[in-house]
Amino acid sequence: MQPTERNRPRKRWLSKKWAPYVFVSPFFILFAIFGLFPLLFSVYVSLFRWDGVSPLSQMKWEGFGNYLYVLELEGLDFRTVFTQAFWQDVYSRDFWRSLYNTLWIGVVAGLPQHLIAIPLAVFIHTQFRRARNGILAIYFLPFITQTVAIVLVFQALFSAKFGVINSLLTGIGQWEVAGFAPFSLMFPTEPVDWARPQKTPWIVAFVVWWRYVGWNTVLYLAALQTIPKDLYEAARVDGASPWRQFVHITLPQLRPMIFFAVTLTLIGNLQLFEEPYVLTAGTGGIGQVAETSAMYMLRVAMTDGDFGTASAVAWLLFMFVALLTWMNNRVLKPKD
Amino acid sequence: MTPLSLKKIGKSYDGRNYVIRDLNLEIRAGEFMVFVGPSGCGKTTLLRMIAGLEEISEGEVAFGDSVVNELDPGERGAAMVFQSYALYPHMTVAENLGFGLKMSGVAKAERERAVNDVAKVLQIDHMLSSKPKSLSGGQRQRVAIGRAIVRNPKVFLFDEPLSNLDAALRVQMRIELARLHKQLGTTMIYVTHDQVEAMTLGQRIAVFNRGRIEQVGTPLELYERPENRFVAQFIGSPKMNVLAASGNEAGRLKIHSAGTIPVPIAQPASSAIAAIGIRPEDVVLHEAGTPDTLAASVTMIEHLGDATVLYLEIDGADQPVTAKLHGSNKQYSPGDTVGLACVDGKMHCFNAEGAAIR
Amino acid sequence: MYSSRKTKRRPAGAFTLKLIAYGIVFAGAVVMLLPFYFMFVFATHANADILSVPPPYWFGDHLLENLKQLMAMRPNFWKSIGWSLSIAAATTALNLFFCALAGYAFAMLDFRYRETLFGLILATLLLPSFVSMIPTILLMQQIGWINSSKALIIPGACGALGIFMMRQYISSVLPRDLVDAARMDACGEFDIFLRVVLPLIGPALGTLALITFIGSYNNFVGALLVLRDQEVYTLPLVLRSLQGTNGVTWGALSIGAAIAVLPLLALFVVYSRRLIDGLTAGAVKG
Repeated sequence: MQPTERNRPRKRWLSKKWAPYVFVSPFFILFAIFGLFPLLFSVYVSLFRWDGVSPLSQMKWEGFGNYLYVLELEGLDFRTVFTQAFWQDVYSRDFWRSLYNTLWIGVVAGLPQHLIAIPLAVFIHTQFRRARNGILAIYFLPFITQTVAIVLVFQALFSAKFGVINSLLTGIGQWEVAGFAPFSLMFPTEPVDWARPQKTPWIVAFVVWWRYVGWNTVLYLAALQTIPKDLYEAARVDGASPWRQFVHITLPQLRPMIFFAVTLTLIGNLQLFEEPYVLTAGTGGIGQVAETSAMYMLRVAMTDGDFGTASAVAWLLFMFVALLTWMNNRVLKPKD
Repeated sequence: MTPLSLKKIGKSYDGRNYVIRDLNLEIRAGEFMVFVGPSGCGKTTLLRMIAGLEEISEGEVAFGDSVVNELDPGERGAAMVFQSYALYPHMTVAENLGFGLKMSGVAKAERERAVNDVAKVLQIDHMLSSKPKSLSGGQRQRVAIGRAIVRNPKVFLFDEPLSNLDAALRVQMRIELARLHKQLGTTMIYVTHDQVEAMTLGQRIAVFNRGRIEQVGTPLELYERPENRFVAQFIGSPKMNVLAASGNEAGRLKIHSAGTIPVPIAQPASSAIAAIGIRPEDVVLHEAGTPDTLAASVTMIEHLGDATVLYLEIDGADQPVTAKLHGSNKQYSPGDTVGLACVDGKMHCFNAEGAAIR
Repeated sequence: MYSSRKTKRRPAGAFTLKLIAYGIVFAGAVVMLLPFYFMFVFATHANADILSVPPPYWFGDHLLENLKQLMAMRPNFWKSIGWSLSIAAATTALNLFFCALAGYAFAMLDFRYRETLFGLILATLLLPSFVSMIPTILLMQQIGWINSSKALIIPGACGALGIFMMRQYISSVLPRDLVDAARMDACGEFDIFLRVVLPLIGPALGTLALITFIGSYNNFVGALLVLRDQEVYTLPLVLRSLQGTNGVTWGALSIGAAIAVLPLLALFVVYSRRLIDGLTAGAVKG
């Protein structure tokens, strides 16, 4: 039999060949317009002096001037690099101070997140059965709560004069049993003046810790559930104590998740903005003690109206984040 | 009833390596054709190319006298029953059956009538409003078949449809499929890796190996006259014993160091014999030392009830020889030495390339 | 695991240790909940009560007055809630559609450059968000989307994380045969997505909806960058504007914060398990 007719396919508006590309295109279109293009444009802008509103023709070529202006290296006496005066000089320069603040808050808020989340997750994983979901939900709640709303409440709680936190802390500190105050060394007996600038970064760090410790706990808990039970059974047969099981099984098995969670914390804390911004009412606190780099960048753009410099800050910060992420990869990444 | 014609079919995903190359096959109108072969042999790929689910890299597929290469799966007039049934879990049985008609733009009343008719034929009319989840494996299978029938296709395509069923149900469904084919008379193509399924269902069988068809024929043709070693060993269970033959001298073949036997076929073809094949059911055991037999010793015995399978070691061969004996005129035990021979006229011969010689 | 040594006799100290550990977990839980508690307590007290020493620890009766005061200070408060909710709803709807569509393509369809394109999408997750803050302002100024909800909805209409989630889910629950069966049933490619895929990925859509909705509803920075006029402020911006440098009306502010937090609190009470699982599923596999 000899085939005679060759069928023409019905016309469809979407052929099988092109459908996948059409289906994935929304992301790429949106990213090109609202992600890639502005990014490239900001590289360009960072080389100019520009207020962001006047026509593009008004842009003034600066070259790397904006970057040098941000880094503010002139006048630093590098021969005195090991003296306190040198670092005070560095701290007085906006970009470096903001970077220092970011790192300080990042570490003081970030490290305890993991140091507490890991044992907490292990404890919840092994000890809780029925109450587990409830406990977890409570710890997770801060993570999904509107930052602005809850941070404003924290502001009230940290008030020196009427603040609940002072009342609670001094209450514990002054608590006496037979004329002896057992907690007076660990807790304050007098109200703490939380409004002093030295306290501001601590408050920010506490709020950040409070928001994310539950998130990290949940991450570690999820990882714990994937550890095969027979590892522990084998260890118990060998007579390993719970502590040795933790050190020799749990921690090594958690390592990929520790890497992942620390990376998330690192990237998140380096772009810290909402909590310090709201806690300090957008000012960065007295003497900008809690102004993070992202806040500094926005201040340069919105208050100073200097979009060229703000873009330069963004890219300097980006390089810094990239550097730290790379270092994190070198140090913590599990080797296979 | 529609014949199918596959001409010079080739399939390649990257343009260099071919999964199927230069394949030709004519499937007759109303025929039940089975594609059988080990996994990865290209049989399912070919079926999917016929269905339109895989692009045809080279060659032409024609249904009747129309080439369907460019047509969408839904337009070819083929219906497919999948290994996993692939019923839509969110639709009722009735919706599952009618979905194809709906998408082809068939009016609602007509759709319902078609669905009801098919449901009655397959005896699934009482579960039309249930979801697939609540059905048993056999019932799902029936719905999957019903979904294919309802569209009144020119060709039925089955992709290992019984492999998810348990053994008893599989036998029952096999019988039902055979009856269905008789009833509808439609061309059917059935893919399986199970040679028993192939032998019982197929009017003709195409044996696939490495993207090529090794042989096409009726079940008995494949069993009795395999064209090469691959087909010979693929069809039949337990599989055919193949023994290397050497020293084709004075009309006798030397089989390893187990002895010699007379050349079973006439000259001059016999000079090319490199191996002989004996199906386990054609093995005959004599007293050890009987002339024209091979020295062998029993290593293991399996009693199947109706038959006994013996595993024998013959001198110099690294593979054991399997023998399937019916009736129990003699009891063997491990360690017994015997003389191994083949039923007259049942021995297969192959040349060095593996092709059968007759 | 550790606890299954129950049959053995424990050393005397173990019980005390366990008790201390429980105590710490519950104390931690209290620390997590206290701010919420005081938010509600403050919402029911007059400003003078809140400013007194010691501050109130239990609910008062000043709720309605605080609410009235809030309305007097910010007449557009309810409007801003509606505004926030509708922006979140629109963002969520678009994300569900586009992410499921792309996730389906990456999970079930074969096409050239599939892995490369998917890798690119994941790579964008690594871009720190602050890098795009300044460029976003510039872009929105240029195209006139300042003060427009479009500036909040459109750029986030198809998130990379959502695509990732959808791909994971679809490739784990949908058999490929189902898509092929639909093709045999004369379904077009988009019809397959609409009639076969979408109805079957409800759980993943639900989780993605929760995540997207919460993220959008809480979005402060995005709104801060592009919304300049009080009339178009979303809820976080309105709340932020209540915060003066001196003389904050804490009662009114607290009731505002409480109302802002309540919708998500309610959502969380019902769906916490699902949300937590959804958010961590990607992390564990990745």
